Amino acid sequence: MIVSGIENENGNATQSERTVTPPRVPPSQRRPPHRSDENEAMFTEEFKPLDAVTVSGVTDALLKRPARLAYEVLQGRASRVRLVLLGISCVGLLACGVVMGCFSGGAQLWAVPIKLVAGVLLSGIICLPSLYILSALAGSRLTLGDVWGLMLMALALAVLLLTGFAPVAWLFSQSTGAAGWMGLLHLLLWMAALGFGYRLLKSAVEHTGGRARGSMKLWAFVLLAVLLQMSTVMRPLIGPYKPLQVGEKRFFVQHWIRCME
Amino acid sequence: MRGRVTTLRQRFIGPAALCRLDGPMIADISEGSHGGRLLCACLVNLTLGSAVFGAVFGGWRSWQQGLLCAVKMPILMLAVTGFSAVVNTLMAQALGARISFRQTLTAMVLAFAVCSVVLAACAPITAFFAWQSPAPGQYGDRAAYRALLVLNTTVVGLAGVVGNIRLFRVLVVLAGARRKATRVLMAWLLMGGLTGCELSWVLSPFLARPDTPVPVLNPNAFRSNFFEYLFNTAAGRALPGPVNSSLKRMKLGNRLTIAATRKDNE
Repeated sequence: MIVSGIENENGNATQSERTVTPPRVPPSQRRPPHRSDENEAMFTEEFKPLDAVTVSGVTDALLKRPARLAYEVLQGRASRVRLVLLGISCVGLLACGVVMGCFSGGAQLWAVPIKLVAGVLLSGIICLPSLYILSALAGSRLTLGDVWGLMLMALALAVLLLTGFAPVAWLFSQSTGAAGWMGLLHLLLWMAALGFGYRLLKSAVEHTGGRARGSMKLWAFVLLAVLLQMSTVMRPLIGPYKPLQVGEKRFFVQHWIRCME
Repeated sequence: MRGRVTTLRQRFIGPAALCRLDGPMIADISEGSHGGRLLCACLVNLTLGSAVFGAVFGGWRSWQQGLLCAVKMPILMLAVTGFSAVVNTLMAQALGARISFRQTLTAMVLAFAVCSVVLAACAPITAFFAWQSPAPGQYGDRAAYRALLVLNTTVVGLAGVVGNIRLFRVLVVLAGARRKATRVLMAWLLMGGLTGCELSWVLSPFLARPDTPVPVLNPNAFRSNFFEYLFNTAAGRALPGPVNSSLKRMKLGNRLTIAATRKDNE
């Protein structure tokens, strides 16, 4: 990890030496106290290597010791951790998709999980360059690979929470026939889960020197807009099965109004 | 050969480093010790970043418009820098900041490079929304045209503001005081807005209406100006705009054809 001097995209130092210390901002240069300082202090204390990079170890760390996972993503066994996080995200999304598909049953049981995995990963890839640049504008010293790893970490946490919400969603899906109501419920659950993911991502970016909170909020808003539009592209996620309607272009607000009608 | 490529890659200042604008880079600008390396990196990032966004901006209309836009966007950025560098130096000096022309030029190119990098980062998102909008010729294309024009113009405007605000740290070092730096930044923002609006009018259309042919340049570029066009639009007067003049010609052509057909029938 590079600590000082100008570096290029590959993270190669041009004016300074290479060290292995974590990229942290000195306390004197830090911003004034904020209510999230407590979280950041906890994050800094726990910024150590993980005991074992296994599926259960990573899942446990995601919920209890995310700073250790961030350490592995930024300075440790990054590629292995990213792979495990991607696996957790995909499996979790498949499980959430099956629960969403239960509302209509039939072909939706296999179509929704596939659409969900493809849609969420595609949205992440679309928003990755903007996250990389906005985090750099905020002062963070992350490389593109680091940003990808942290984004996967936030996604995996959100998906884990969504998997936790799945039994509740399934219960509601079995007791109602109103697609609009189910859509609203899923939207609320997704917003809550993504909120936790965003919080984790923000802590990690702040830990690496990022200070501008506005840019992260702006990115979260953009990601939300892309995810909502992606849900319209992949429609119908709730309701009877129809093949992908990529040819019929529709803005997500327009789609919602039609659904409500 | 491989060693040379590696050295070049090590020496090249990437988009993230430009956005981060570290202390050593600011010192390079203020001392003028960058030796052209920073300026080169800024120019490369500016050209590539704005060209990528330009291609996405015009790409919804047609590939020709995308190509034109990819060429026009870097020209627009460089033209704004060229037209306002001298006056910005003069204004900065009048406001009490001892900033040389070279420093002004480097700072301005840096601001537009950051703006272009932000635009390039937003390009996948705008491309996704453009892909999801009705294509020209489809039902709802006019509404999509208006929405995309507003979206892209807002993104360009915001990126421009971000790029210039990023300069503040450099200006504090160059001007020596925060107050002076704020005044200079405001003056530069106003100047950038003024020249940017007019030059974008001259180089328009960046996105031609779906029912008109795509002109390379605005045919009324030197018969009117951006602010006159804006005033006329607000007042609801006839608009000599790039799109409307083409539309008028089309409508006139249609009317003449109809009149000729009627005459023939009589």
